[in-house]
Amino acid sequence: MAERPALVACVFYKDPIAAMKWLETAFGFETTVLLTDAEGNVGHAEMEFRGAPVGISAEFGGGLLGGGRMKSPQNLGGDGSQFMRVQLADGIDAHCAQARAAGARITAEPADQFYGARTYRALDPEGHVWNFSQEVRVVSGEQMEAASGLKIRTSLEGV
Amino acid sequence: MTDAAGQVAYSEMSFLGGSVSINPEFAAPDLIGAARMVSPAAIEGRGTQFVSVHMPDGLDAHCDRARAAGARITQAPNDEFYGERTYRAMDPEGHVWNFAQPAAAASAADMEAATGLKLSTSLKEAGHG
Repeated sequence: MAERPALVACVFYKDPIAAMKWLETAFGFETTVLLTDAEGNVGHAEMEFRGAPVGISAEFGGGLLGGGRMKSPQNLGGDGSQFMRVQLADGIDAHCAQARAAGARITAEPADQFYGARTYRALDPEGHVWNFSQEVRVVSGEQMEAASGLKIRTSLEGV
Repeated sequence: MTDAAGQVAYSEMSFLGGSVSINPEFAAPDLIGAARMVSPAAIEGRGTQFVSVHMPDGLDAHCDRARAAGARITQAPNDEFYGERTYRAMDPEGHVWNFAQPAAAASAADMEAATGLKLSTSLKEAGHG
């Protein structure tokens, strides 16, 4: 298993097994850990993509989360509280084609962005947003500011 | 990245070499179709993902610091069956953060015995080939 990075996201589904099968086919993820009860319900699972882990779980709430409840976007009318960014070293257009063939809803086609990345965005079957990104050129802070009209800082100082 | 009115368009933070993006709520049909990115504070405390933060040491002190800053600690530091010491906290808008550091190593057999769950390392092994 890859070395665990400091921050690992966990994504929640109504049907985690169906989601994991889809993530394997559409995005090329691999299942590395799957904890199931006697009825086959998923307690927790982990997948990997190009060496990076992501957690997959069924919806849950309860004492550990205080008043929090982890839900699928499908149960929230398409709302999501976080989305996932996936950095690709190469092959982003082919990755998008594979996802589309597996039924991903491509909401933004692969396109070069002002910040130097080529990106596409897709929704999985339960409505989670996935943003795939591949660096295609180096852009300086000044160039980004000029292209976007935004001010760039590298700390909260002065905000 | 801020606009002329000082509103955040996009930002990134890092912790122990990992990075996380921080953004205002948004909807943009040309980018994310019918999806809408919202704060848990806008949807009665519900969230669709959370982040686990893995630190090599200092978990209890980290929890103290978070509590002192007003974090709602929903689960105090505790050794878990899967070989980690964890705590969980909610930030002011209700995002769940799970913090973990390594504790006593747990084998797959230990984990299965402690939970009664079956541990597989692929969908096929779990009977979902």
